[in-house]
Amino acid sequence: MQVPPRLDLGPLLRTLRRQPMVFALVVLEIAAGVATISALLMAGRWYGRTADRPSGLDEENLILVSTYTPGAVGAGRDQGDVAGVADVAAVAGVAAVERSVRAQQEADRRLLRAIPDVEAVAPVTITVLDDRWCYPTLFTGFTGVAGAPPHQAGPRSTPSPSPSRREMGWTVYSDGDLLATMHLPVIAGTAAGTAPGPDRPGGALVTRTFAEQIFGGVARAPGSTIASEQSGPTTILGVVEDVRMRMPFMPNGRSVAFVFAPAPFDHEARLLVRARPGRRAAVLARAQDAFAPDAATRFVQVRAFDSTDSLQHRIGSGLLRMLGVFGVMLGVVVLMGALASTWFLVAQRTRQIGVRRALGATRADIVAYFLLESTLTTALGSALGVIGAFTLYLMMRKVFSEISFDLGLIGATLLLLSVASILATLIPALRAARVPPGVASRSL
Amino acid sequence: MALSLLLYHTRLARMSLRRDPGLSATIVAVMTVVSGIFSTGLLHYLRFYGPGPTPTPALHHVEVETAARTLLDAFQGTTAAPNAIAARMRVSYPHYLLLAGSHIPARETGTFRARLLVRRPAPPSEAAERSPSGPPPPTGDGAGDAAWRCPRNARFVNADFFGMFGLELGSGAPWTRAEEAAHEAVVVISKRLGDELYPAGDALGATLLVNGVPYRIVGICAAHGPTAPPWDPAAAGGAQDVLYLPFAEHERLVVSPEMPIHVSPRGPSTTDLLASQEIFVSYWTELPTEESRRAYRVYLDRTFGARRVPVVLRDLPALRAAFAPPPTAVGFFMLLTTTILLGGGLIMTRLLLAKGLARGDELGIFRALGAPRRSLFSRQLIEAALLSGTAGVLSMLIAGPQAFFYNRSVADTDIPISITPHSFGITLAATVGVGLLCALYPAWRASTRAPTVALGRH
Repeated sequence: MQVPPRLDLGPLLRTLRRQPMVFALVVLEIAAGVATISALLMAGRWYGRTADRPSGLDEENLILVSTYTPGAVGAGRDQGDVAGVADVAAVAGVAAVERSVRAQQEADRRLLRAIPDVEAVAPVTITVLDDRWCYPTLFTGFTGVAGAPPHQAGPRSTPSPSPSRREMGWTVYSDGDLLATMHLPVIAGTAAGTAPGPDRPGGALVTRTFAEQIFGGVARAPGSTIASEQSGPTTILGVVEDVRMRMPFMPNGRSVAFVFAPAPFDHEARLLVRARPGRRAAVLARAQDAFAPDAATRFVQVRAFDSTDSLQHRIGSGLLRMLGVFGVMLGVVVLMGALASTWFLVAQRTRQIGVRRALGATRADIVAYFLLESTLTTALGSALGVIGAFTLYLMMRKVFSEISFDLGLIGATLLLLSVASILATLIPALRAARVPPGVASRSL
Repeated sequence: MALSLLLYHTRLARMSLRRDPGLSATIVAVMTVVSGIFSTGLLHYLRFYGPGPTPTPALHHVEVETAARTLLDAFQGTTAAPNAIAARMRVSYPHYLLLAGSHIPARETGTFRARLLVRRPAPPSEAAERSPSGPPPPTGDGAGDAAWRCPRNARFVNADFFGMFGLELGSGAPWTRAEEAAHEAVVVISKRLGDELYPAGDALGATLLVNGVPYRIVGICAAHGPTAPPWDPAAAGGAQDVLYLPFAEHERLVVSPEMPIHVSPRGPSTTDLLASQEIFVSYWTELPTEESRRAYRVYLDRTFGARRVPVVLRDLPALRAAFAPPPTAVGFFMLLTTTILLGGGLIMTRLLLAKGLARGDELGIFRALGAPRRSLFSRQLIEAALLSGTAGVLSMLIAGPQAFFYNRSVADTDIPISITPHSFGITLAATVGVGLLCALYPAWRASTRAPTVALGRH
């Protein structure tokens, strides 16, 4: 029976004791490499996911029309006796401008509806394609209590004695055409009553995430009331599937309340247009033609609703590429450094190798020795590196929402660096193994 | 004497470097890559946190509120908590001017941001063909754009704003208080807008159409807007403000802050406002002396105290302390790239140790010939400085293309990242610093080797 050769760690440990600093440096190098490359890859993956994160909308036949309708109060107005505070005449002028702008926005909608192959048109105040700045709102939910209608109750009034949780979300003002335009499936409650009338307030639809965060479940939301700093108490009519209305960099992007009430006045308006299946291109062209005469007087942008044609997608995919390049460069640096120094250190030990060869060590023993040495340092460095990567991950959690400690990426990094380390050792080790035993005696 | 000694050691160090070209080149290559990555992180960091306008130290922020549930309460403890101050500052409705009657000599400004359409006036021939319902006819100053571009960020400020926040103009001057009081249609534009609309550099004095209303350009900013302006932390990271308009012009243009609290009052009169329990006002004032600060506090207490309206008056450091900015990806990547630079330093240490071993004989001879340890130690450090300094310079070959790629392909804002003398200096200093730090141990080891050890091998 053949006895397997005993693993002799003696020479290795003696070498480590002789050059502790060198081996400490190797371990730290590998640890730094594992930690930083893992962090880069985790950040890269996060940006990649951000770039491709779905909006949740059926985008295929959707068109976004963004308009900005300017309007100005006539010159020569009386500024009043208190600077900056509008007097009655100025307010009248402002009201006239607001009416005029709103009328134009309504006319835009009629114009779009009149285009053949348009199924539905709905106004929305924000979309996932917007690059303008805005913030989420803090919502408070009131379970099972019908609140006062929006714009009728005081904004600070308390609609219920039993508020549930408060959570950030996004308000989207729209109207009854929203569901037909966005194709949002109602999963609880009803879509009826979304259109506000003169004596009937519209309610709100909320997304699944919104309902779960505020009310702890989808079923509890319908019939409850929400209130926020931006809108008065509003009754929830139903719950729809999640949809992302803001860039994924923003918190709680899937937590959305569609409030069916007139939006606060804004020169900017957004209209979502649903074209009949397969007719988006035709509708897009007709809409662009329809708005072409307005180019001189206001801003109108008509484009296909495509979340891959957005700022978030450009930032995400651009940073993914950039971080990938950094990762590759770092990998090359680690390999280059390891190769250069190992090559040299092996060369430095030519005499020691010669002695070992003279004492009976085979070439395989020499290669095995160096590989064992490399494996030991790589293992130690990798262990430290994983700890470092986890520390960086804890920091990243404060910046990158919903980032995960990706064991697959960590494993891939360890594998790559281990292979690089073995390669960096193997080439000089094979060279060292060719040292003839006679070399040991040359400098004696 | 010291200089000649330094030059002597430098010459010897250069000779030594040539003896190990492979290791020297590897060190330079490694440090170039890590320094290039560090430099890229630094460019982003400086764009976000770097030097910008220097506000006057006497700057104070005033907040007046009566809301029972304030914005701060609303945002506290949520992921958007740091935005509370941002949201507050964006509701600085013009009502702040109600407080202008303090009779305390102080510079004051309100500020908020809105989105506006801007363009150069169309040529006269084109303007004549316009619909009569369109914007007012331009005053005509050459070729303009036929179509409006997308809405741009615009800021409404008072005449004192520029001086209070140290926002420098490259040409022209801010409008005056008198021009503001007379409701002159004047505007200061950003460098970005100037470059974009007036590439010939003829912006000053020209007419700009803002939402169709003609404004005369009286000043052009000297540099791109700060990424994190002190007057509006909420704007950090977004597109810059491309024009600054007199505060009261928001009435003419019928715009309100881009992030208004929709339930805020917009009462038509002073009486409406003061009767409301919804006052929320924020603005900036300059109070240079203790006496003026005290007088202003008395004034605020007198004005609002009877109505039990909370008023907060604090200077910029106190404001920043109260609303510490949240950690950003930019800060994290700066930390990461610094770690990468230090990691590169570890590789450099190992390679320098290898170099020291390779040159054991040479160093032994030097020592045997009477060279002091200090001399050898210094020479090793000079070698490290030469290597890392070369890498620091070469790192621009990585940072430059990265910046170019970023500005073209990522372009998260309209403020480009660019290599500046400042960023180059920091990169070079950091690379040389890390190089020297990492050379300490190899230099010490090489200089403490006994000459007999090296020579004994021969």
